Amino acid sequence: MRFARGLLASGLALGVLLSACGSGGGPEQQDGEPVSTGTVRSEREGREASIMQQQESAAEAGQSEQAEPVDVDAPGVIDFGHREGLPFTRNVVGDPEAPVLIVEYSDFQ
Amino acid sequence: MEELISTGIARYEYRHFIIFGAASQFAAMATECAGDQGAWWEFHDAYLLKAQARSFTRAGALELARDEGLNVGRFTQCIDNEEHRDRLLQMQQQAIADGIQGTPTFRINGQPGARSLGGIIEQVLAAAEAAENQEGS
Repeated sequence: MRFARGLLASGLALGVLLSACGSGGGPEQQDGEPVSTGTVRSEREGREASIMQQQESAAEAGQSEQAEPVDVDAPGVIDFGHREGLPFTRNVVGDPEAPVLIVEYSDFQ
Repeated sequence: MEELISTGIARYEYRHFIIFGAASQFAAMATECAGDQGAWWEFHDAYLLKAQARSFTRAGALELARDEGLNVGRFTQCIDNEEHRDRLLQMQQQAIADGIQGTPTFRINGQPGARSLGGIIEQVLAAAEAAENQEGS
């Protein structure tokens, strides 16, 4: 009986030990190499922090690009070359009230 | 012709009509993407007037975008995703429907334009006069 209690106590102790070191969220041991729990955790946390930083940076970059106003047909004034000072809207240049519209169909090559 | 535009007699619209294949298609796309950032005419001139052959490549277009101070990331995204594909396709189909067969082809207030610059100028002046007479009557 005492022997049986001893076995039971040993089994419980082993069970507690296994649950603490094994499947309780600790690192898995690969290829039989010893694993330092603290090192792996800090490396993983470092990687996670790095990924989060990258994701935050990407999100910020995306937000800044999205925040940039894109009005594809916004009117403007040409500020270079021989058309300087002329109003334009994308591919149309000249006074919007001009009575004549010249359309050119062309290929850049 | 520039004088007709600068004096307010006429306005000028450029429409892509792709006849020389992929490089032309790419240049048109790059120009439209530049247009999203207000640099349509800078790219137009680079391609058409300065005939910068390098610009017909992706690397060349990106270099041009950098030179013009564009948001290169946004520009790259636009050309890589072919964001103006539908616009260009629609422009091409409309041109074909309008009877355009080659380049350059002009339309003056919707009417077929002359083949020579002098002829076009005469047509523009006549159209302006007709518009003025119509307003006066």
